Amino acid sequence: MSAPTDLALRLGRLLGVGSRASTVVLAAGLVAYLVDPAGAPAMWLLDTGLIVLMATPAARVAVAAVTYARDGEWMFAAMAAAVLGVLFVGAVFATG
Amino acid sequence: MDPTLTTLATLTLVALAGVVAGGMGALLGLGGGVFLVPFLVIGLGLPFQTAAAVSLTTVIATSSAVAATRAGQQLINLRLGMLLEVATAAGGVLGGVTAAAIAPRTLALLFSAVTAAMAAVTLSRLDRRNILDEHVDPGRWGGRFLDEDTGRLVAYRVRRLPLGLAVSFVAGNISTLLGLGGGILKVPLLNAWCGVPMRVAAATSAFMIGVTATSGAIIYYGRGILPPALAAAAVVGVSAGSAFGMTIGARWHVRRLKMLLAAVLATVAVSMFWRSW
Repeated sequence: MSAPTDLALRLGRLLGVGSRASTVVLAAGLVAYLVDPAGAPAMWLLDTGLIVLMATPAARVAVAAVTYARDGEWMFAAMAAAVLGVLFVGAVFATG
Repeated sequence: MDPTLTTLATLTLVALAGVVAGGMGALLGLGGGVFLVPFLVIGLGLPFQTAAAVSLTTVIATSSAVAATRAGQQLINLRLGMLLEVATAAGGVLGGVTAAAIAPRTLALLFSAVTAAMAAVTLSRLDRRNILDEHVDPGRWGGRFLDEDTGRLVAYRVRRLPLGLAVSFVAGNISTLLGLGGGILKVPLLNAWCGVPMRVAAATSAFMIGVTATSGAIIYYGRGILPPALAAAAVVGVSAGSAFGMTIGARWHVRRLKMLLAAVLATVAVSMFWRSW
């Protein structure tokens, strides 16, 4: 069984990569927006940055669910899966 | 103001607001939504829903940035965070029920009363710490961490878990409605009533609020209510603010963090009370 701190470190790294990536893409998108607010590069960069931003906490919950399941911690795996389910329903509800 | 007419001045102001939110997240585990929403509505004249949408993206950015750093310091209580997240998510799903059942004015008054009470409780406990000797069994939900105030490894136990679950449910309930992450309710509750030390409460809250805010932000984004450029400016501001907050937070004693938390709670209580009239 992996120690809780290992999981915390792994989730921390994931959140760090996600937050840095979204900040860089959104900053680039802002520059493109100031050059041409309606241009394709601005829209594409801003949309991509926002999707990465919102996907980061969801990915964190997914990794936690898989790790807990692998370690046989079913109660926590179920909790993480439930949270992921709520996020998924929200996404379907929003785009549907 | 038409949200599509986003000028450089507006973007700069929103980025500066993001800096404040990021700093609050790093110091107190709050997403800063309680300040950002009124600022965007009253200060910039944005429609409430647009303000809530931008605020939620800021909360996500704060949460990811702060939790990424705190993860290496054993300050995030993962198990407690996962458990409370379920209650918050359930509360988020049922947010619409609250909106239908309670008048907005009643909700604002209730929020004001709760934050005022929490400010008083936080002030009354400035010098009471939730830390125990490192050899004490932390139990199923507690943990151990290196206390920056004393330089020792300490333990803590979690008490009154059902109360924590109930408040997390309410926090999720109001989150999407008001554009908040809910940290403003969770941090003082975990610290004052559930036995969780201040720094752990802040780090665990910062870890949780990203998920709460994501569930709301997805909906606003999908409905096209989220203005991308404003959200981007806020997120860029958060990165700078959270880095700054993390640097000064390590040097601040818990007593000062609690005083700041009490001041924030009191400000929110007054503004919510004022808004309800």
